[in-house]
Amino acid sequence: MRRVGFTVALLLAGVVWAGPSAWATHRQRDVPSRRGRAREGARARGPAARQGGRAGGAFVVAPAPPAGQSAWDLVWKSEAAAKRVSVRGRVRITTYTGPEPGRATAEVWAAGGKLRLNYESGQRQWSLIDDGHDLLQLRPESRRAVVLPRPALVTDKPLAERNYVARVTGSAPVADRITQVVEITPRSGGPPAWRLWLDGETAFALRRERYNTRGEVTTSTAYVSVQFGEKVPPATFSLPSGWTKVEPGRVGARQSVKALSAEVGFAIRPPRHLPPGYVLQGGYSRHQGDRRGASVPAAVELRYTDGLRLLSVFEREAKGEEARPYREQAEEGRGKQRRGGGKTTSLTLLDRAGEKAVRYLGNSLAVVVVGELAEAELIRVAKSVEQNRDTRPSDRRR
Amino acid sequence: MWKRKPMRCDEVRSQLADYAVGGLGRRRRAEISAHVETCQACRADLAALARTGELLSDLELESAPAHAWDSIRYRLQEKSRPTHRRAWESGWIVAGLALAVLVVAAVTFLPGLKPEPETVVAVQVDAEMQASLEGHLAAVWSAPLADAAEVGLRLDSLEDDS
Repeated sequence: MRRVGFTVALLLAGVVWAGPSAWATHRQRDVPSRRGRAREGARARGPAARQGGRAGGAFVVAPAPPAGQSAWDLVWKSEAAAKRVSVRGRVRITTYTGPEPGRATAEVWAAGGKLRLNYESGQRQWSLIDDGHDLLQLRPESRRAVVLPRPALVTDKPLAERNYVARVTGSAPVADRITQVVEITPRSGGPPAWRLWLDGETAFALRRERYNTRGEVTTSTAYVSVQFGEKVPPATFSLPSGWTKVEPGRVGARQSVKALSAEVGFAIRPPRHLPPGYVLQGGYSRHQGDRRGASVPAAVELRYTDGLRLLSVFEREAKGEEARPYREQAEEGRGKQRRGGGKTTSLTLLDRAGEKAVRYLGNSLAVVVVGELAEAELIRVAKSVEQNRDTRPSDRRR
Repeated sequence: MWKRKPMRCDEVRSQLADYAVGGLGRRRRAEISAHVETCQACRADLAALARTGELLSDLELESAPAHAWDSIRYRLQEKSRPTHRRAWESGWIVAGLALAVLVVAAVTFLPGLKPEPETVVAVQVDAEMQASLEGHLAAVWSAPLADAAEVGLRLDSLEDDS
């Protein structure tokens, strides 16, 4: 009797130990029918995808990166392919960053590190050109192009690999091509931050999904058709004649915090608190304005990165009413306003276009922090600028 | 059958805060739900209220300094005592009041004990915030794993907002 009991216990332990992994292997090796793939695709576009389920679509074969390549090798190959490969295609884009999902399709031309997107959303059409230096937002209705300065960023591969884990989770068809699905997850834990569907031949990303910390899809882009190696005329990436260029601001070259302080004439204070894993990527002077003609005081931008995500800290001198106690200010906005006595400060929160921004008016500096972080963390970073009496960078400059 | 008139935006907004925390009756909640489903402006207000609520729930409670409790306890004891006081007792009252003044001064002037700053959830994107968001998104465009097509769409939505 004891022997039978022991055998049953052993069998049960075996089932408990092997069960989930055997089930997972079964799921990944499962080859769904065409109908099943359509259903998966529909689910990925629907609300269930926002719950962070298996939004990656159908898995066709067991995951295995090509021989001698790690998942990170694939990711970096994909980054290089985006600049190297000549592409023509059509993408479907969905963003879940506002009260209503934003949807658009775009014709894409890419060659030699340049890119053009002709968007269409409902009745609206507009274009965006990356000419290798700047971003040009083309508005056909006014025949004007707004120039957005695009700072050159240095990709810090070791930092990205220190902060994130990449793994190949399967392969799936996208735009009639076989792709490898790569999942990128923060080492600190939580759900994946990105899923990429990389073309099996060129490593070009044919589908991407970005997730928030709750594992919900925030943006999704998928090619519905694509041709590689197409010759793209150079004129595709330049502004057509007869258009007006509007340049609301310029960004200076990357430089040290000390050199920036000398340029702008006030002591820049790097934040004393940074989220784990973030380091200073560079500092830039910004002569800003907005496209409606309003001028914005000159500011500096300190850019931090954890290898993949960015955190921007804009600083400028607080002048006039801003530097006075809050009671004397008139802040446009709404919400609960608690009034403290004495020399207190003001905080403004903004959630737009999938990014959160916090403005903190201190006694000497006005700080705007923008990044994909929780509001409480952004506030902590913004407040730590004023607390920092040391103007040296809080982290190494890269 | 008498049918209630649909709620107007101003009526909804005056009760939106209660609605956001589940503080209304079933019928009133249903009316507001129906209105919010069809009114984008009220829906945006509701989303802003929900976000503010989330933010407030994230804040940690500050505990009062230990000496503040001593002072309060002392004042309570003072109240429960007979009104006839000796000379040394009035000395303690003065000391307690001085301590209370010190606590208030410390809370007001020491940086770590300052009251939380005012939080304003911005509705209008002003020029500085717009420029900062655009600058950040233009940098995100160049970041590793950036999806140019979706960043472009987000940049466009930012202009719509302004």
